[in-house]
Amino acid sequence: MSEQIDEGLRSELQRQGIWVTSMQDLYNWGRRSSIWPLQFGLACCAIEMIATAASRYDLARFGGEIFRPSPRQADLMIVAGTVTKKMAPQIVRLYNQMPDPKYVISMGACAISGGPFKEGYNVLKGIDRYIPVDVYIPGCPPRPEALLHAFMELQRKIDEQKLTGADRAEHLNAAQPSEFPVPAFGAHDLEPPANPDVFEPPKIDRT
Amino acid sequence: MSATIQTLAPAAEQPRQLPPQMTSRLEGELLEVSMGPQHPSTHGVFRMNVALEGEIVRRLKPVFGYLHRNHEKIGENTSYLGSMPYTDRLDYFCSMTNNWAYALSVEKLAGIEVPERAEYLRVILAELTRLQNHASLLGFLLSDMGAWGTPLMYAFREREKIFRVAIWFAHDVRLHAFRRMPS
Amino acid sequence: MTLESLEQIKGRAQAAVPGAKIDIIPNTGPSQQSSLLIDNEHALAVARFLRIDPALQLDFCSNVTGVDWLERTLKKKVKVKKVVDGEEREVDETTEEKIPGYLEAVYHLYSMTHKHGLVVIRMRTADRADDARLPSLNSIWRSAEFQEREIFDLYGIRFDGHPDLRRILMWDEFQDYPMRKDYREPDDYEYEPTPHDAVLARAREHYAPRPHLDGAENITPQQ
Ligand code: SF4
Repeated sequence: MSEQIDEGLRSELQRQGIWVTSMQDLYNWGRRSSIWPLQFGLACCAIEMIATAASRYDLARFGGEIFRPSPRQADLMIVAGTVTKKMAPQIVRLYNQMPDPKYVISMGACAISGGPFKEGYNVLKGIDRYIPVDVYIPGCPPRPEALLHAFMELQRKIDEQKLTGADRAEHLNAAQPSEFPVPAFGAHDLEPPANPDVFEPPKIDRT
Repeated sequence: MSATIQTLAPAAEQPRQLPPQMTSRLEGELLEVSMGPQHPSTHGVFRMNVALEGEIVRRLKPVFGYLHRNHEKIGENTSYLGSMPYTDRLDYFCSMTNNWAYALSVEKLAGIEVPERAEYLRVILAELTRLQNHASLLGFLLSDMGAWGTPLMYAFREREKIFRVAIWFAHDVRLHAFRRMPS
Repeated sequence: MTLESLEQIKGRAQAAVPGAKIDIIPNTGPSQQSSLLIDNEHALAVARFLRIDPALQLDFCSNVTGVDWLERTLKKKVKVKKVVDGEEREVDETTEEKIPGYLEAVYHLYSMTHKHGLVVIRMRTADRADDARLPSLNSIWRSAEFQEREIFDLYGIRFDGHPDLRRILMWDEFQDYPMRKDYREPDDYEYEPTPHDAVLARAREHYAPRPHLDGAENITPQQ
């Protein structure tokens, strides 16, 4: 809710039949209510993503029913499944092709950290090594309820974004990059193994 | 990326007479298209390098490995039971049948006999998996044939019902029978 | 039609392919799946025999896989007659036999015509070098094509006569053979805060040195 309007005055006016809102509220309400995800599945978690979009769980209730086949029309990338090293460059490329504002949900243990396959030679240990992630959902696979929860978290995040000021949303800040370098296939690993601008390995504190 | 695109071998076959509606400016020329690994019509991550002559696919080279999760290498370091959850994730529409196949081979390797009750439970769970697999197959197949969306909704409605039955046998079964990794 | 025993198959194959060297590798485990080791020179001829022989007709190659055998020493106890204290006695003596490393390709064969199987055949490379070679059986069983490519990708066995030997699962620029036992994956792992076992050993290599404490964590408390 916007801070500029006095809540008492606002409800008073509302009782009189006058609806007062701010540009920011209107804008965020519009964007939050029609998040179109990219139709994009990688592994087992993608099936749960489909189950969430299908009957019974019905993601459409939250405005996310239109899965776009093209990244040019999508707002949200749900990284659902194991990101292999062979696939990671294409995911970064897809992310770069999405127009701003764009959001990423990292669904499942694999997309967060490599999950059960973390020890493997061909599995990327978390998509956040190359692109920024907004919401993480743990689970293997997360239940559809968990994806719905993540979706609502994302809506909450969008609701709180500012249009102006120093703490305005990232996509309104021209200095923030919206595209990230695509890793190259190297002789032993992806090059670079992580993007240092995005990813910082967790520090192990041993005192 | 460009380095991984394989040039398809030159044509060796005779040019074929195309039906009139299929002739195009590209006739006689092959257009190489890399289709996938992210393409709305591929189920899963799979890439095809196709050589098109107008509308006709002349040659196709599959490129896979986009979901190569090195089960084998991980299996070298886990116990027999520890490998079990990975077999769920081989084919996630048929997870419990995969579990069964793996269990059978370990039992054969170690000479273990299973009790009769376990055999019954296995058959029931495998059948439930099969039902939900076929339900999804019909949904996806009809979707691919042009009935976008609706058959999939019906299929997934039935699938959810099957999961509710499966939960009586194994706790929290949806895709995978294992949500935890025993080691 | 029931399948002949491996000894019978071996005998008939050796009769049909003169000069072929076939060994039976026994499997004494509960599964009892013994296999035939065929020599590389006559592998194609033996495979063709297995495929076209009217009693066998193994026309379906369901699975091809690789095995990496590291160099190992085989310890054997042998009874040796020795003269001890003037009299002859039987003494146990352990002999050590060094077996050099090699790579293996294993083919699982079934017959669709006769509905029998499984016959397992294997081939061995001479060593574990980067260009270890084996003949490709792709001309006999088409289904071996992708699987031989996979073995080339993961184990680094080069198949002579394979029509399209490229990497299949890993990208083309990749240079290692990840399924070999001595493969070390790139160290790009974030270590857990509470590591144990193998993960602990690897995590230790990444710890920053703590001179005032170093070695302290290895001291076990006195009972
Ligand atoms: S987190 Fe689990 S369910 Fe999801 S893709 Fe990874 S293995 Fe599959």
